[in-house]
Amino acid sequence: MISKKVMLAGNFGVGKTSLFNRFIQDIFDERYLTTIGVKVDSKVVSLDNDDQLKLMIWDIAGEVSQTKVPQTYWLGASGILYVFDLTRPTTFERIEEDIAFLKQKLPDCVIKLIGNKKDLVSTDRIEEVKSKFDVDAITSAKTGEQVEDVFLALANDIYAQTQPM
Amino acid sequence: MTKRTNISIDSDPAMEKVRAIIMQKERAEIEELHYILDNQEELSTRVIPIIEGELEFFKKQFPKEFEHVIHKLIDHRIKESQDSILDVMYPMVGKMVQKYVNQQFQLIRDRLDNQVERSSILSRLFNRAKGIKESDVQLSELHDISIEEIYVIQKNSGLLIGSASRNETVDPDSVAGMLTAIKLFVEDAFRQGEQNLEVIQYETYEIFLQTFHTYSIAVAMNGALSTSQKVKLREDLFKLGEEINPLVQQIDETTNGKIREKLELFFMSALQKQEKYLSRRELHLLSKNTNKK
Ligand SMILES: Nc1nc2c(ncn2[C@@H]2O[C@H](COP(=O)(O)OP(=O)(O)OP(=O)(O)O)[C@@H](O)[C@H]2O)c(=O)[nH]1
Ligand SMILES: [Mg+2]
Repeated sequence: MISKKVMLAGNFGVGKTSLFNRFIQDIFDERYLTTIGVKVDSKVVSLDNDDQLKLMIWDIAGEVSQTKVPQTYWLGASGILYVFDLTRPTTFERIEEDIAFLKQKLPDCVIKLIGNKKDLVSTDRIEEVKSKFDVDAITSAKTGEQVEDVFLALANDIYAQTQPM
Repeated sequence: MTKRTNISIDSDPAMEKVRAIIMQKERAEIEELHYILDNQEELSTRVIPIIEGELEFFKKQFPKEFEHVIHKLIDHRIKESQDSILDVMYPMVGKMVQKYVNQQFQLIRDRLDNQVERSSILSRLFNRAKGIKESDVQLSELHDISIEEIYVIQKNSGLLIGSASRNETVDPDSVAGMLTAIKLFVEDAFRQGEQNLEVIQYETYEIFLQTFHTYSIAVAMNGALSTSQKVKLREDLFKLGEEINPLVQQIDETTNGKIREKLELFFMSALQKQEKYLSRRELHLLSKNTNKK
């Protein structure tokens, strides 16, 4: 089976670890235990064409700017979920800059932009965010909404990219 | 103007006659040339020596004339296959350095040996007084060490290329990813230039990391190795690396199985003769003791 490296990136406290835990073990914890270093875990997903793909997911410590992440972490990554916190506008501030940085760093990488903690915000806030940024998914690690879908979409996109046209 | 003059000369029969007289010699020569050109044999006797001479010259001049082209070609080939060349060179350079270091150590060891001999007699006496058989001590130490798992991991991405394990309990993919993450984390945290993290200790486990250019080999051992045992293990890993190199250059579905085969062989040999990881001195002591028995 093919394995692909996927990174969870974004500011601290936005819910990277929570999305990781929700996706891999289907659990959620209200407590905030900041990630130190990296945690790696894997999950096999079934793609739209019934092939299987193993995602090796790297949950890294959040940084205000993605340029602060140890640069070796990015090497060999096929996909990135860039997460921001819908409740904290400070976590929107660097979206464009960060995404541009990641695109330049990993030109062939599939990048998805995720607004997390949907359960805590109004639909107005969501509409406002959507009008400003090219968001791929609005998730809630707490309720599990859209979590599996966004990982699956990423996996399918990565797979499509590895297939010869 | 010129055009008209030409026409008149060409068509004038008197002129034609004059020309025939003047050009008589040339015409004969042209005929001769035609004869040579049309006659295969005539032609080859004249041309072949020239070609041969040129070839000889070409052979002699080739290195000079084409040196830069060839160098460029080689440079290009090296650049294209840099990774595979580096993977081949890593163990060689490593071996050379290791050989030198080993020699230096051997010198020190030889000098120390006499002193150690004395102290080991003391400790043997001490053990005997406590009623412990020396051979038991040696054997128990020997059995403490075992290779539990071996992983071949793609550098940076941390993706598992192949693995073998004594008991298939953990998810080797995640272990490979995590080991790489720890390695990158530690190397980043201490930013010691180009230094590589080589050993990770976890409870009674020691995880050995031998880094090659595009991949690492990680060996998880239960029990701690002495320095000389580590040197031996590293030597063995370099050899293993030589066997693995050709397999990792082109990774496909069959790679994992092929590498697993190599790793299992490595496992077997390590298990069968664990004394491989004992120093010559330790072996010597061990054989003395078993002979006594
Ligand atoms: N209500 C709600 N809380 C969430 C959600 N996702 C995460 N949280 C909470 O937000 C806090 C931070 O979540 P983490 O997943 O640890 O954040 P992180 O991005 O991994 O943070 P770092 O590891 O420090 O970078 C925790 O208290 C979580 O319980 C969500 O979707 N809804
Ligand atoms: Mg975290």
